Amino acid sequence: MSWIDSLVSNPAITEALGPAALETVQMVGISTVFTVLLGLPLGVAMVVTARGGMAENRAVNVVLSGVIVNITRSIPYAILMLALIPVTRALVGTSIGPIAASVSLTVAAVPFFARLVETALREVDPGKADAAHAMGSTRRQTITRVLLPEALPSLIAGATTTVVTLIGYSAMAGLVGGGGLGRLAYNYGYQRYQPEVMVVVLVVLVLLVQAVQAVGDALARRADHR
Amino acid sequence: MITVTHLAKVYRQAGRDIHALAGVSLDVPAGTVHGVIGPSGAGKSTLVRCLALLDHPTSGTVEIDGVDLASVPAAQLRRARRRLGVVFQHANLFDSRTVLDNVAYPLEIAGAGRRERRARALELLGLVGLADAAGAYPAQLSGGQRQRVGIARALATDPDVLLCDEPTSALDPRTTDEILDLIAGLKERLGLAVLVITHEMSVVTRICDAVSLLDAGRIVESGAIADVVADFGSRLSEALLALPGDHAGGDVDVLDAVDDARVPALDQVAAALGAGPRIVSGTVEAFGGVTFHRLRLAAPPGVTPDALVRALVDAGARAQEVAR
Ligand SMILES: Nc1ncnc2c1ncn2[C@@H]1O[C@H](COP(=O)(O)OP(=O)(O)OP(=O)(O)O)[C@@H](O)[C@H]1O
Ligand SMILES: [Mg+2]
Repeated sequence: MSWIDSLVSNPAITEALGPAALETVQMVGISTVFTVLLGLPLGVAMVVTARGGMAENRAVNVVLSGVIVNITRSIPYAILMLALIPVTRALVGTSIGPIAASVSLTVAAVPFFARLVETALREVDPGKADAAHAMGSTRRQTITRVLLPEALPSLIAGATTTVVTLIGYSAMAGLVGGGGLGRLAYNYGYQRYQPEVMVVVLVVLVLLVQAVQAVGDALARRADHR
Repeated sequence: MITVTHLAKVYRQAGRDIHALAGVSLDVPAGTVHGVIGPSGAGKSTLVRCLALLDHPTSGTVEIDGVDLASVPAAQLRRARRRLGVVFQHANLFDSRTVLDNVAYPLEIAGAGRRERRARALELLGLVGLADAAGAYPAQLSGGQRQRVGIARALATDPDVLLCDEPTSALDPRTTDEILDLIAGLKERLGLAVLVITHEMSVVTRICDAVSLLDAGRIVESGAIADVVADFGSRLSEALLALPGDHAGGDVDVLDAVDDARVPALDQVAAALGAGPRIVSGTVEAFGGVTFHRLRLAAPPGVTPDALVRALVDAGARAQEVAR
């Protein structure tokens, strides 16, 4: 069977590719949603509790930035996902499948995204926060109506980078029961030595990343009025 | 109107106390512009931050309409702040909002309805001559236009006091004049008390009714502009009536209001001394409706500076020997 023939006849491609891609999208989708939901407030909290911040608090800042974010970020994902298997079982009842994989993906991505949020907020001219305060804004109003909207283009760029990183991690998560494209590439491309499957998976992953980046760039550009 | 009493701000840095403000008192009545001018490091930025309560003063009071901003609790401070509009050097507009939404921001956080916000913001944009730009984003505007939007935004809550922090330092000379005229016009129309912090003498010359010189955290000279200018030998007088060109070689300064009809004094002096003094340099400028002149004179040969001063004073002029 030739290489080209197998593209249209190999069931690993004709039948398994679609569902595997969907699983990957599912994993990345779920973990992206939770990453943004958790990482955004975490990033904001790191900025406002920092030295000179709106609600300066050294202890809280050390815990958030020094302990939670730095420690999680220094653990390689391959180890993090294994270490989190018991936690995943407790949370979703199983350690198999894309939903289970989303747990470790989220845990890995939250601190990553929170740092990007922190950087994005720091880039906002402090004069804007001064203006907001001088006009009588509460801290909450300053954050939600001024800082976050002003940082929106960078926040979108940060979210895009996070999604791309999650796509990469998701392939690893696939190996230990997450499923998806990573699993497909490992089972067929590596274990059964079908290089065409490996190539097709790579192409799909590259296209996925390109699509995410293109959409992210377009959204960031639309949000940017500078 | 705004009354500042004994305002002090101490920064602790590396275990050392820095007295950025060491007891500043000011009083700006409604319908007047008060300039605060000072050299680099004098405490101008600190003063603005303390007046706007962006930094908390170490001691002293900032009273607006009888409410001391420095001592009210946070919630009340937010309300009291609406009586004070702040214009920043770089406008500090929100780039993510249109011009209209920038001006509407203070109304938005005060809980005004959409319709009301829009109507008021458009009215304010008209007031600063930018009604056409309502839908534009700040990035599409020139520096002068951005500052106009900043002024409109500062006026949105109908404040009694306008605090301007170096409002024209980032603008070219022509735009500077336009913005200063706008501020002066708004003061008239709205009866605002305006406090302008600046390092530019020209701002004081053009719009201020009163002026204070801030140096090393203290106000060292202060008063109505005509009085300050008339104060022979004071730093503000020297700076406001600066002599152009190279005026080395002069011995005696004469400072007077032009309409005092003392100008013919030079003829009398020439007659008295047998020779006229040479005019080395001179300047004429109007302050608060009074035109002042300052001349630097060189004594004619054979006449001591002291004799020239006496001759000038005898002729009715205000004259002083140049300090060396
Ligand atoms: N946050 C701070 N911490 C420590 N010292 C400060 C701080 N802010 C200002 N200072 C000090 O207070 C003094 C007054 O500074 P300020 O910035 O108010 O001067 P300025 O008149 O605005 O000067 P410039 O014209 O250069 O802007 C300076 O000695 C400065 O070093
Ligand atoms: Mg300054």
